Amino acid sequence: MLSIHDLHVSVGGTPILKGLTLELPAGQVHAVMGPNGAGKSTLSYALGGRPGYEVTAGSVTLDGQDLLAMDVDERAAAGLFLGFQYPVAIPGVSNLHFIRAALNAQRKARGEAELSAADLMRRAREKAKLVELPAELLKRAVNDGFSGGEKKRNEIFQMAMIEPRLAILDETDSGLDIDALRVVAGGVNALRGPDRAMLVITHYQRLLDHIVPDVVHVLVDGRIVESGDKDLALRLEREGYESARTEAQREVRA
Amino acid sequence: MSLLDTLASAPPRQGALAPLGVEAAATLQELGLPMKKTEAWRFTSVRELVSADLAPAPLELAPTAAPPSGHDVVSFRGGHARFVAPGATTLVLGRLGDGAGSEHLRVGAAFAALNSALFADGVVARVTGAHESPLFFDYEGIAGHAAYPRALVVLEANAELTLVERFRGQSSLTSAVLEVVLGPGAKLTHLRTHEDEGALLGAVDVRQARDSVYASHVFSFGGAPARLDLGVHLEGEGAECRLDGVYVAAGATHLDHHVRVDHRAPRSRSAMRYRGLARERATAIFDGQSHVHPGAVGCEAHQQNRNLLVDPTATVHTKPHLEIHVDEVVASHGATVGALDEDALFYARSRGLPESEARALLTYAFLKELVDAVDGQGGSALRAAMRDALLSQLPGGEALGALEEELS
Repeated sequence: MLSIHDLHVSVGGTPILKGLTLELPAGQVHAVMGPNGAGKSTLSYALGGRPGYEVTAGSVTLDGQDLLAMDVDERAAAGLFLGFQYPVAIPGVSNLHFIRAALNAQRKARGEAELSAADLMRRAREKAKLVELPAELLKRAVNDGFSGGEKKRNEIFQMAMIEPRLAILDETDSGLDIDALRVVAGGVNALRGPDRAMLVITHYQRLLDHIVPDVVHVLVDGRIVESGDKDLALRLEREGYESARTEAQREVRA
Repeated sequence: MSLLDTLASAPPRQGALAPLGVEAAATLQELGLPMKKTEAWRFTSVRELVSADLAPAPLELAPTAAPPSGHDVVSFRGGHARFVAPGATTLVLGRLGDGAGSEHLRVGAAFAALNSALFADGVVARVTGAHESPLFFDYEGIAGHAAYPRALVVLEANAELTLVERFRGQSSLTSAVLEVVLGPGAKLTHLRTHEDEGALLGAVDVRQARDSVYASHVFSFGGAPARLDLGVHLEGEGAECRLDGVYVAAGATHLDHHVRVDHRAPRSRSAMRYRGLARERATAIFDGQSHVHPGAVGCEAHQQNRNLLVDPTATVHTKPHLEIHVDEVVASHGATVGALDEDALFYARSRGLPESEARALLTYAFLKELVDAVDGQGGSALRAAMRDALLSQLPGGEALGALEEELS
């Protein structure tokens, strides 16, 4: 579903991703792990199309379509969802209003009819329950005054409302205590399905106890240096990223 | 006719209002009307207005239709007022010319003084107890004549009122003066919308006794220029004012807000929050002044002005200013002029909103926060009306309004 080939991305003229290649088939969840500065957030922002993240080489396709040629909103309409590490507060717009605007825009772009208010409300109540998001937060302004855990649950709520083809979750576990982590992971697991793929980007292995990945990729210095099953995450937790890093250097020399 | 000729040919006032007219004429003869070099009028040129015919519109231009029944409405046209007696005993409407409340009238400065010299008659509203429904002052601006509407609103001790002022039409020159006197513990919620597309120069002067609360919500959408001089005098201990303003300046619109609070009593509190946007070739001005005078200990004075500058051809001037003469004060001020937050823009776009829709939504959100702050009698209906008025000023506003429908 998602094919990333030899992706190079620079930020402010500095190369961050240096030839990243990754295949993510439908129905699978892949984890991308790596030390600070490896390029994890750059990968998610580049896929999302954030201004300032300049793709200098390589290709990315989603269901065969050239993702990099699309505007940010076109990527969303094509099925991409980006879960933010730091969700943004928008005072003055209620959560419901915001998600309705987003859904309507996406449906319009795909030539589908708008959701009725009643359908929207029904779905919102159901999905809020999924991530234990209190109903009153639906009427509050987007992420305004939300706790760290509420913001992350709100991201998964939005994902559940949007039902994307591909979800990229950028450090969804950061800043969460163990209970919040379990709730967020539960929401993510409920959305796993044969037609959906997820890329879970994380620094720590503990998230992967709850969201068990099909494949773990190790990202070091802008490239995937190793891929394996979920046990790779456990090894990294035990041995740190140093061994992967050394392997990467060996590879470069060879 | 020039200023001096106009003053000389104005019919002399009789009775209780006579001294005010004499004093105002003397002030104007001495000081004249403001010019560009007058600091407070630096960014708003009134040269054309001053050189036009300043004679008040004749009485024939007074409102012909009686205001709608069922609401308390005072209609102003050409500066002349028409109203019917309110049904409730908590509100009494009368004529300033009959002498009621004339002891509260002040000459004022600049165009307010011109109003004091030339208004034909005015309205006085007196409130005792909590008046249940809003009182509306509707002003229709007319081309070809100058108009000098004048009103006085007096809230007795512990009285409560929501006052809604609406300026519409196409004034050649309207110089409107409203004076507000709040007794101890009184509470006034005051909405004021500027949608007159002509020249509107307004002065609002508020005097607050002990523990009174004044909540002002100004919405400026039109005017070439629209100028507001809002002055609040916190004279009694514990008096509080909250002064919110929203402005949207587009095209040839020129919106100028001068807001001043004088803390003259201990433990008085003030908060100014003005937000607006300027686009195309429009100009918006905010000048906020908070003065904490000697003896006014334990005060709180806050000022905030935030601006969105949408086009490089638009102009924003902002000047927050605090002057504090006591030690024990909590004060803050800040002003920003800028573009929409890039992080929020990317966030909204990543959820599927095309850039233009994302910008419209964030712009609306930025201003709507102050609409949500509207409170008082009939608050939800007023918020809805203000929301619709705001949406009508914004590109893509109709679609944004539809999104909010039925979601509850």
